Amino acid sequence: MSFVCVYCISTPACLKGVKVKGIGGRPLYEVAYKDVSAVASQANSLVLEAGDEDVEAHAMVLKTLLKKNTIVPFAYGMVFKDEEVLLSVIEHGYKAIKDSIEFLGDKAELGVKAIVVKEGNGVEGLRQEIRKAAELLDESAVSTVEGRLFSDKLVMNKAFLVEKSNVKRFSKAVEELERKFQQLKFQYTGPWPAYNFVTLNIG
Amino acid sequence: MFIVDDVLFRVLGVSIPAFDLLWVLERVNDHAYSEKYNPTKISDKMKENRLLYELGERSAREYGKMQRQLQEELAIANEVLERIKGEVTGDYKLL
Repeated sequence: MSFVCVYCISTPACLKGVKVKGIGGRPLYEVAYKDVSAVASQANSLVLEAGDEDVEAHAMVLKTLLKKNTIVPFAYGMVFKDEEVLLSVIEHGYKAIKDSIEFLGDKAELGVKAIVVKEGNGVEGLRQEIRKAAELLDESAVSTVEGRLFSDKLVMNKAFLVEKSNVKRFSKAVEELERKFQQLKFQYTGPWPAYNFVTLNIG
Repeated sequence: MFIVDDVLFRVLGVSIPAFDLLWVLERVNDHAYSEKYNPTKISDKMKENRLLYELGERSAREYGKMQRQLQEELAIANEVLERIKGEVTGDYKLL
């Protein structure tokens, strides 16, 4: 029996010219409903194991599609019994999906992490300092989400939703922070699928 | 049986030094367990290791070695947690 593994929802023909393969090297296809399309591949089971290669394949599909399309990303391992079930889910969530695509259309998710590499001020002091200084980044963003500080060395872990037209301004603000905080090392990444800013509750 | 007695004494407000000492030792043991076999903490260390590597603060060799070690720790922690869960379930069945 073949199940349907979904990667994201986007607009029709989003796979045109896309050569990337899905999990396990399976070909991708679109499941269309009105003016949206779910990007999917076949799966052997309803439960996917979270192996590094498969998770990487899922991320690569999203990364590739994100280059030319607006996507509403699905978490790894969203598998449906068949296309009928998937279409019913899309039908029920159609308005939320459309709203999400419209909301994300001209925006990009960017991430900034900063860690302490030179001992000096205490980490807690630096966290407060950078929180204040990062207001500069907040000003260039539509929305922000604070991530968990998963390391004692981490002083900043934040996701930003930025208008595409504002990305240059945002990048300059990050450079400014880097100059100001020489004792820190920054990791500035993106654009990412907007996991931090869109949540679709299924079921 | 000991645990029931210990708890019972505590509820009754009776303090027996030997039991108090054992109680403290149990808490220390629990704390040590939760520190050593905490999958979230180990996953956090893996994320930190990855970040330090990506930022050039750790060599590929150091990163790989640390990651393998942490993966082993994570597997052990998950196994220990599974066993503890099994024991707890067993207790409930007995009750």
